[in-house]
Amino acid sequence: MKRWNRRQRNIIFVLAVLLAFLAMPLYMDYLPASERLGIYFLEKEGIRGPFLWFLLLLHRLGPEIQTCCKAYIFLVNLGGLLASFYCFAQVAENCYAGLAGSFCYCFSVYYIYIYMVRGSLGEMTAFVFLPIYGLGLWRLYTWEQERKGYWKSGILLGAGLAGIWLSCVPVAFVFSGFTVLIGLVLAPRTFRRRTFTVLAAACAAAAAVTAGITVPYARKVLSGGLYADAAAGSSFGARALLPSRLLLPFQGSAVYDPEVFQDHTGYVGLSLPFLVLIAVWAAEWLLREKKRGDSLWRRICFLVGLCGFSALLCTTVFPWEWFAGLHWSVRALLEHIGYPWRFLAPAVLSGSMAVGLYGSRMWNRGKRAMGVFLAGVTVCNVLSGIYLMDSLLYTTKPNRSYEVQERYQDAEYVFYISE
Amino acid sequence: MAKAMRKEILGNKKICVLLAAEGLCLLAVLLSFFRPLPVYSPKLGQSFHLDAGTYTVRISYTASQEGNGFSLEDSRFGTQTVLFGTTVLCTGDNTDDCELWVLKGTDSAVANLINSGDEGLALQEFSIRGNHADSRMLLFLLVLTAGAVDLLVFVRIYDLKYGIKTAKKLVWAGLFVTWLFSCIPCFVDYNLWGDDWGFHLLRVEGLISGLQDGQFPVRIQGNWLRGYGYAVSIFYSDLFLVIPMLFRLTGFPVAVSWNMFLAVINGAALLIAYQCFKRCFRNEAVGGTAAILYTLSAYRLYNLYSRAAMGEVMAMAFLPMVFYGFYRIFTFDPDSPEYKGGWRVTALGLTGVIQSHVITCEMLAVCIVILCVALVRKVLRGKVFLELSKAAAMTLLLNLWYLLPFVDYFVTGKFNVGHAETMVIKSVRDWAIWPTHALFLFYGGGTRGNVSVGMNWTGTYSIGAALLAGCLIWLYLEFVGDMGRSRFAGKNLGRLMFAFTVFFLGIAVHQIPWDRLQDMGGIIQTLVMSLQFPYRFLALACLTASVLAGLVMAYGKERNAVLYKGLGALFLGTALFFGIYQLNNLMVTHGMARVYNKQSMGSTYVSNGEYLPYKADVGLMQPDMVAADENTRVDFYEKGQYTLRTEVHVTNSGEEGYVELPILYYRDYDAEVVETGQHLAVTEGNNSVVRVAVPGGLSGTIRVWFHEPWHWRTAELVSVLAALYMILRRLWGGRARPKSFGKRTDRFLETVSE
Repeated sequence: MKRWNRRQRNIIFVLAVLLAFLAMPLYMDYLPASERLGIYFLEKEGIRGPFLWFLLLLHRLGPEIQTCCKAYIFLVNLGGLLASFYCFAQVAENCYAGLAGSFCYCFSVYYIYIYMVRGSLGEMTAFVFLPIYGLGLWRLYTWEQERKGYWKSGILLGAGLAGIWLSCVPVAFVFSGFTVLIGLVLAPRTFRRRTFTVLAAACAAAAAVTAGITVPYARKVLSGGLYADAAAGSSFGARALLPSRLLLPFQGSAVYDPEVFQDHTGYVGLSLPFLVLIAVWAAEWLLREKKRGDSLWRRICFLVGLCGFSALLCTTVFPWEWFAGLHWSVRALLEHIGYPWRFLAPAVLSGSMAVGLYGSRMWNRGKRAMGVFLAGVTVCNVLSGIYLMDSLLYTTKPNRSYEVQERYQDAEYVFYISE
Repeated sequence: MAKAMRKEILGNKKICVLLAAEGLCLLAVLLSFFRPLPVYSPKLGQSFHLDAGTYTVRISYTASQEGNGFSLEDSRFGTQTVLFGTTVLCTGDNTDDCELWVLKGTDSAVANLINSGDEGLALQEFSIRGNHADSRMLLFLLVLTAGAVDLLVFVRIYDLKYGIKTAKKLVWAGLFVTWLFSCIPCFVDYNLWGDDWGFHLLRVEGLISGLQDGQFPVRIQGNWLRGYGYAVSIFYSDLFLVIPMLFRLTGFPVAVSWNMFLAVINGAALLIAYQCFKRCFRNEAVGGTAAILYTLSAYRLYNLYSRAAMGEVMAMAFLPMVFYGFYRIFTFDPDSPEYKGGWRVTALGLTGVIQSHVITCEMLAVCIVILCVALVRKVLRGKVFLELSKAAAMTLLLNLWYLLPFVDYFVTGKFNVGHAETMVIKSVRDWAIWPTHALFLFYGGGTRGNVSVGMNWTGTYSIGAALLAGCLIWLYLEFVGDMGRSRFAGKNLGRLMFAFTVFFLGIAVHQIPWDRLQDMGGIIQTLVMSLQFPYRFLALACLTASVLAGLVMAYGKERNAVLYKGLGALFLGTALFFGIYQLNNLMVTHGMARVYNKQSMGSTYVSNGEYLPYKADVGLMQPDMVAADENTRVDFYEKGQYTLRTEVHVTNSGEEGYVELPILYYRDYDAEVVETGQHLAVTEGNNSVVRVAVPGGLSGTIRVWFHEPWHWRTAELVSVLAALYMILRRLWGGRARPKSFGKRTDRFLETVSE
């Protein structure tokens, strides 16, 4: 029997520990955000992706809602950890660097927010596919066209995009938009023959696979349907975060009255690891001797820039109101994205990839540098993600009921895939 | 060397000046005992002048109902100048001498009666007299400060002359910093409102009132339950509460005494753990780190400040000693000369635990049984068995003075303890914890323990981040196979400690069927009910995890210096960060209280009421409730609120009758007719009060008091002799400390393998 080598054992151990911490809320007899988790078990007409169908069917087989949710969340956490580790390790070409990226990704404030405050199972499921999407794009744009297996990047991209669409439509809108944006920014590469072919094929395949979801969704959007959560709030632009919120490293310290702050947006922001990442990058950009042809540095710059830009889109700084006024279709699209903070998803993805790249650079500097880097990543994540998890558990009163809010009970049609 | 040091010290002019200055200060303080004491007779509701100093406020009053109070405060500067609070006034005719502290002279002191609508409330006397408590406090502080300064000077001279290793200095600096940070909540002029804080304050005051009643050792404390008395001392040893009692007798206010006591406990836990772990690991730095982790362990800090579970936290101070004792017995070579004496450490450690907290003993007993079963072959070896037997016998003898009355009452009496129907805590399982608690890192000032509240504002039911890191590192070393491949001497000890840590963490969780165990009835039910909170096992988990962390460091030391230092930095950094985080949150969110004298603290907080006679109703225990049968007339009755001494004059005009007194019945009360010396029968009356049989035709004064039976006295004598033997052996029996720590460390490994 083949035995694991030391590196494999290290990785398995750390992933197991991370999974144990990530699953902290599952060891009790209640779940955070239970009133929102109940949405997925409503039997009303609506659009539900295959993953959410699995959840409902599991419940119909007999297990209680809580058991189903715990099993599902555990699988999603496991999937997210494994997918992010594999993909980031591939991006960084180093498993320890991938581990660092995965740590930042799974314990990002945004993920903890949708996990423990929003109870957005669809959005969490999308998090499993984001790294696959990211790896697909990464290979598409960084590999030479002639490289063996280049076309496989299209499979990854297509699978990632399809998975995102089948999990959570608002996040899919965001990432589809980012795909277009990246394609335009990297136009000279995008319009290379093989690259464009693979990209187009991947997008077309994803569109074909998800047509069962997207077509009825589009019909509903065009008929003016709004999903219940967004419909209850104000306009898209008004739901944007104040810029200072992004800079808060300790989101868990917030105390929000659920009566006043209905959506607890106070808990969402950019994690400490990404703030440190941007700070380190900025310091390096200012102080470092510029080297032409340093492709790794350019890639880091691109990813950090993408992270910063995405984060900016979450805030009131970006003129969302103006955008929404451009055309009714834009307004409808934004209403279905629901919340500007959903743009944190690409920020987290690109930021985690950048952390992975920094990790690979540290690896090249020696074991001690890598040790310091991993320790730094751990400290940042403990102070950010785990702190937020603990704070939410600490300040949230247990609710063992899965009765959803009235606006969902009263809705005739539910966009399950948007929650 | 001692002669040389003496010469060095006495030949140094600066030291002579210092000693002379200390002597002068001492003389000045001693002279202050002879100063004239001021007397004030202020009027209620009017501002009056008070000089800085300590006073006794005498109030004589009559009250016909409860809820009245007497306050004395500074209307301008509050507790910056006057420390008094509000005295709880009891019903009846009473005279109270209350302590008062005035920090600086004031003209705005005001005294008031707080009347809760009692028409019968009247103050007959109100006077303020100076006392010497301030001089006593000054003397105490002077001796303490001078001792600390002299010690530092001595260490400095020793260092200059002979040199002290930098590592040793760093260890001691680390220990001091740890002590300082662990005492953050003590450096305030109030007390954090811990769960059992009021209960233990009453125990301390109860010791004083018990001594004033002439009891030694104190068995029934007369200050409880409006003077009805409570046998807390029989069931819950007060030995270490003598420390805060001495602070109180010196003259410090209750709040200050309490904070000083907490600081002493922190220091004791740190020093005992350091001395024991240092010997276990044969390394001062590793021992120091393990001691720091233990002292800053999350559950210990929570116990100390938030739960105010003083018994448990004092027992935790002695757990390292118990561990070291067993470590010596099981790992040292039985044929080596230093093997002898291990039993003494074990006996002392166990004595410390028994004298602190019986429930911890219960848990420790489970642990010891498991250990002995696991090491049965070793246990059955002649010398090891002899050492274990000696330890057990000496523990029994040292504690006989406490254990015999405890067992005596437990077996012959019927008390609330062990009976779910009379206890506040009905189901132990409701107080078990979630596995989430073990991984939770950022504990704040939360106090909730019931599982129904989940993690919301939960108490700190975890060993803490640093010890958790130690466990994870050990698990990692096992997982990657490093430990399996290594020849690390402490490998099997580490495995045992890891297994114990997981066991203690696991047994405390909600998923364990505690309710089924509780429903089994009999001794199991009694043991489970007396445990109350399964999370108490975390105390033992903190110990085993600390040893494990020390072993991880020892392993790192064996591997390479960088790893060793890195592990040390990780452990210490994590422990300090999370410890300070916890205390910081505790300080800014926790409730607080300022209590200065015993009259302000009430008397009815019996916590779970474990030691009350079965089904006794505290609500019915009103002061001065004297009842008699129709043949007996009560002519006169006198009993204070803080004493058990009772005198009642009765006249019986018919057949034998009885009189019931406001004293809670425990078996060994005695009554006699003062005039004739005739002893009267004492039985249990209504609501478990003392009922004295009054013979027909008796007219006289009956005196009631608590007296110990002869076999308790014998047990006390045995314990004193055992303690004397231990002291004499220590002084003249030679020190059986190991001289070299070489190759015996692997004994545990061999033992477990067997």
